[in-house]
Amino acid sequence: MKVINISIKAVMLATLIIFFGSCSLDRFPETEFSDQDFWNTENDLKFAANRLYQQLDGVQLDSRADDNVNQTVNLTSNGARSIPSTSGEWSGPYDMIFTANNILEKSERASVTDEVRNGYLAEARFFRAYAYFQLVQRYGDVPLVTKTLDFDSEELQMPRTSKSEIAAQIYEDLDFAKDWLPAFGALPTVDYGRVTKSSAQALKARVGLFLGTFGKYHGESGYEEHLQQAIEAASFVMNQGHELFADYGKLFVNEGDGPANKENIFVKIYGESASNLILGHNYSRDLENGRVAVTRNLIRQYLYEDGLPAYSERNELKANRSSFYIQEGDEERYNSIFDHRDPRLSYTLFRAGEQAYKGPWVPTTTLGSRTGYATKKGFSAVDWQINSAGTTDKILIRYGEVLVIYAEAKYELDGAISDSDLDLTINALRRRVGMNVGLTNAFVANHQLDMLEEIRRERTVELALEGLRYTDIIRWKLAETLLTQHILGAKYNETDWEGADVSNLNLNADGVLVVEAASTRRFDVTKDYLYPVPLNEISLSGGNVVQNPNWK
Amino acid sequence: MNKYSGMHNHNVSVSGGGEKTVYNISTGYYHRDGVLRYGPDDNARYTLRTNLSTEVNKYISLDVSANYVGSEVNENAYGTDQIINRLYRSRTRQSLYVPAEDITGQPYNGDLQINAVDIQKNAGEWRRLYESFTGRANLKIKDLVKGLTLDLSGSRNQDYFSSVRNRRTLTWYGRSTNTTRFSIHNPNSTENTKNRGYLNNLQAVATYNFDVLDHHHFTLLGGTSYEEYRKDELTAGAQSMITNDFFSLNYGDPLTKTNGDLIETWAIASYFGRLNYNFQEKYLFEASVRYDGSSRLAHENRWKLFPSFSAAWRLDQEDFLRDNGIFDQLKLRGSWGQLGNGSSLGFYDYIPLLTSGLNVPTSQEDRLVFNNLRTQFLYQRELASAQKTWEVVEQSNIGLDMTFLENRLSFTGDYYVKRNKNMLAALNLPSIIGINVPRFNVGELKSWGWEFDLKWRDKVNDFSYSIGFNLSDNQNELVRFDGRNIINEGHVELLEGYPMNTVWGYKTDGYFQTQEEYDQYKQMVSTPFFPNNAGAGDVKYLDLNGDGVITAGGGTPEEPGDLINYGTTNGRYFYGLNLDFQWKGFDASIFFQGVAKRVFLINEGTLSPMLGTADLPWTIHMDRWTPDNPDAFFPRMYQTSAHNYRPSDRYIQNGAYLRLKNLQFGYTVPLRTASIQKLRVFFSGQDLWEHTDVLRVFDPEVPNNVSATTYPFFRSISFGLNVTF
Repeated sequence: MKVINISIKAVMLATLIIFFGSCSLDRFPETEFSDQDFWNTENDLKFAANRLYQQLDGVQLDSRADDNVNQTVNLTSNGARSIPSTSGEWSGPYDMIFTANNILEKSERASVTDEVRNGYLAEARFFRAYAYFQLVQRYGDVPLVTKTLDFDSEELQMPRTSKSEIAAQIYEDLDFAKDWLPAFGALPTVDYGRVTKSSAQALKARVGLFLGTFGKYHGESGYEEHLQQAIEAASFVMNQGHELFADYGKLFVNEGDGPANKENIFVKIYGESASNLILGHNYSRDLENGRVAVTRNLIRQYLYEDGLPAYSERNELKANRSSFYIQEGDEERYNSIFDHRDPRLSYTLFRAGEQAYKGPWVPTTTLGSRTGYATKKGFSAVDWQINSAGTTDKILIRYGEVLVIYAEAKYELDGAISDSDLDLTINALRRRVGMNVGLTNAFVANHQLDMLEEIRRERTVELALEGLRYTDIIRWKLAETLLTQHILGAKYNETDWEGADVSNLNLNADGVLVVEAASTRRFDVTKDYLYPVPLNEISLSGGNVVQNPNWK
Repeated sequence: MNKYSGMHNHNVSVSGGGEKTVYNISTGYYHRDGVLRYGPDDNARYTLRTNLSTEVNKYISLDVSANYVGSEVNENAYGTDQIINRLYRSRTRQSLYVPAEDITGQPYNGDLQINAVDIQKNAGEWRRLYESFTGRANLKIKDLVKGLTLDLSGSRNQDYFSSVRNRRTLTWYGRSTNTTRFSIHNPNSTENTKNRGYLNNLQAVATYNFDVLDHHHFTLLGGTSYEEYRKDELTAGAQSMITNDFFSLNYGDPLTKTNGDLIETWAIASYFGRLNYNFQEKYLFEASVRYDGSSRLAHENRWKLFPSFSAAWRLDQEDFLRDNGIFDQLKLRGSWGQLGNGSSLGFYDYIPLLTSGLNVPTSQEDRLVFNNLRTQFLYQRELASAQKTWEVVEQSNIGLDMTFLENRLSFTGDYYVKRNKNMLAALNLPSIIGINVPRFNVGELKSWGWEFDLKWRDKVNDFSYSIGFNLSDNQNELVRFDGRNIINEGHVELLEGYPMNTVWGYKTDGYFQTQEEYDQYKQMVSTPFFPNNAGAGDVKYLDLNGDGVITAGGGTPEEPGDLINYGTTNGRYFYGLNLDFQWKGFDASIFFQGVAKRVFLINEGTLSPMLGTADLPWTIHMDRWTPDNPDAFFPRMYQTSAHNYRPSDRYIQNGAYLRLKNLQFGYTVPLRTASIQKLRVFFSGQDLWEHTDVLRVFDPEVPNNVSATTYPFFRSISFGLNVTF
């Protein structure tokens, strides 16, 4: 018994010792790294900056304008949208801005040379500008946040900052980026996809053109300054050694990927392949399923091979038009629209009978495309094989756009453009696709064309379905004209529309498919030129953030 | 799907021992088949409990137990909820089998959609195993000094979890195998998770009982406890096995292999003391204090003191009430106390942590590629919150216990008020902050309620019976919330000045019966969420604030636009009725349960007949608006828009119900042999009947926002046998 007693006492003692000896309450994360131990080396800065590229949106379907439709109506396009409680279109850019501001603040801690540090600061500032530009395009004025905020920061209650102040910040960021980013020719191949001096200035040109023309057509003062910025930035890029990719059709599929393509200025990288899928998109399947169906409204903008148009930028049939134009009621076959047309039309949509998604294209609306047209631009048979396994990179800015920005900004600022500038820009794009009639001042005069309209047309055609159309018609103040018209599709004929049930098609007097009737579409000039601010952002700011005009 | 599925349950227990030592061993097995007719869908549970208590000598006793619980779940790799959803909602034009002309050689059709039957049979298996061992030892030393007891205990729970999910590729073809129409799990893959966790608990308590004079009885208690937890987890996956029928990480494509680890730890320590005072069993007082510390908090907020007090008065012990002939017992109770709640804290909330871009497991959008390689990126997902501290829950309570009529009638009643003074809640901040916001101590939740329990039991000759009734109510109000107040259509969790989980919706006035009626309405009111071709057969929403537009207004309770608060998804007035009878060998019990007040919403996508183009309406949607059926339950059929199903009085569910929760009949066979001491046969039924106004395809006990992925409700019936040897 005594032995037991002793051993029990020993156990008790041991227990108590363990008790008070080991009762530490410190527990630290073992599978997550602390921010306090980070931001020391160049690699740290690179890993932090990589988050910006990951947050970057790549492939996105955009049927807000009149150029393409998705399977269902787009509520921005038809004027039926309402004020959301929350929206990723507001919050998404601020997530990226946080990442950028965080890098700008914490990079100071790294022991690297200023040159290295500035390179990453430049990336952060590029993306901050990119995010603010998204916000400005949608909402106009937005709160300008240039540092990271904590949960109790007073700035969380800040009102919206004026668009001009944000513009100044964007330009400053992009000029800093230009100074410290590598030139595109100096970017190592392994870093392909990272931003360069060209990316910064091409973005700046895009910003300048947007703010300049929006200001001009919506009656804001000081727009000339923005157009000047656009011209200077575009000129800078035009001296960086970029070249148009030789094949317009292949530019938008796998063949256009990679640093050998000197047209690409800013891309979102997808990869590597379907069998080693790291990051994929579904764009080719989206095309098959009619999520980016070209409309007749877009097709009407394409020139004929004589360099003459049929429709104005307001989607009205012109009095003096190309002799190749066929009245829509007289189009005999589905493919008649391709006859004597700007070659880019054949790169943009499939002909009837052409090898398309799964076989020869037979016009139909039953598989998704509400217009009866099958979009080809960006379709890759390789990407299409497996759902969501598309790996063609998404072009966000390319040299072709910089050229048309230059032409448009120049004309908008000076009211004129020289033949040599036209040759450098518009005609370079036409030559690439074998469209041999150039745009010159004499050609415009001889055929009673409108130079501005033709420059805009070139932009519309060259950059079709690249996600720029909605902002274009907003800044041109054409949205109220273009978005309230019929959205039209292909013309029905029995021969080409094999197996289609005509009684299911809503056709107009010409036999053309009415995809969305004008009576179902509206655009309120007093409010729809800006997005509605999400309700929560207003109430959470204590009412300091105010709603855009006439949204309620 | 199965209309019926099987379930069985077996238990065996053995106990014995002598005066100083007793032991108890019990074991059980439970198995249940799921709702899916084909493929894996079942679960099983195994239990073993052992206990040994012994008195070593007159001072020392020892109690040791060891328990095991094992459970196994077999599920379809595609996920049962998704299969259920597709079984309910796949279009009937989607035939299950392919026509004879088909030359693809596969029996199932998946044209443009998945084939839910093929998936049940062939989409692969997801097996989950969970095993838990608990060992516990308790050493009690008493009366080494008179009145002093030392209690030392230690326990360890160790568990193991394994999940293996093997996804087989299924492909559905068009007219030939050259045309893939749809596929899932392409490429095939295996995904494994294993973890091992432990929870140690050590506790030492000293209790000292002493009397001062004769009638003043004191108990003094002091103690300390320490608990620590750690879980180590490894996950690994691989794709593209060499065949669709053999899954192992060893055979996957090396480029697709993934792995990751996760370690979670926490520790809590406490010191506590208590003093009880008892005067002649008449007046009872208790005061106690705890000092708790948690590893989940930053150093400066780690420790906190929580006091509490209680008192009771046994009136029946008083001379003036003794032998009164009415009360057998009459006791008044009251208490006040504070406790800390740290379980809702994250593990390392106070440290800013970086997420690795290489470890983001499934979502592809969260990956980055440069130079054809998956590339690292690091970012802080959420703000750190070093200011965070314990939730302090303060509770006051008064109660009354009474028994009458020779203990045949008993009554217990309580009223309480509880305040969570530092409630952790998601802070609602403007999106310009640009990062996820953690939960902070920003709220104060007051909840209060009462409950009573009334029971009558009696015996008349061989017939003994009891009737019990209980009723309780609980309400709450978020009295303070620094996260500011936002309302929206539907469910709102946190709102200052309101109960938790309120439901906000529009008010409606039937349907537009004609296009003219709608056109007229449209002159006065715009409905931003209506499609442009709205008209007859659509729901008429009322413009309550008369601003000419149907909206949530300012999004605040002060400016709710046209929204009305329809109540909360938390139930009120819970009641139960319990009846028990015994007569000779027969026994029966009946238990009814109900809730008198509750509202909830059904998911819009489920309520709408065809919100997704691939959805098939349900038979309930047959009762839909047409000019000939103007008072239908559902509005006109409309594809791809849920505008008629916005939260409104029309579709907010009245979740009140009364349910026959359990019914049991048993008969003990009057048989007494040497080997069998007792033999009882019984029938038992669960959830056999209910009364409710909830839309009939759903069970009234479902959570808010219930949808078509919900596991179907089952009534269960069992027959059983208890044998004691």
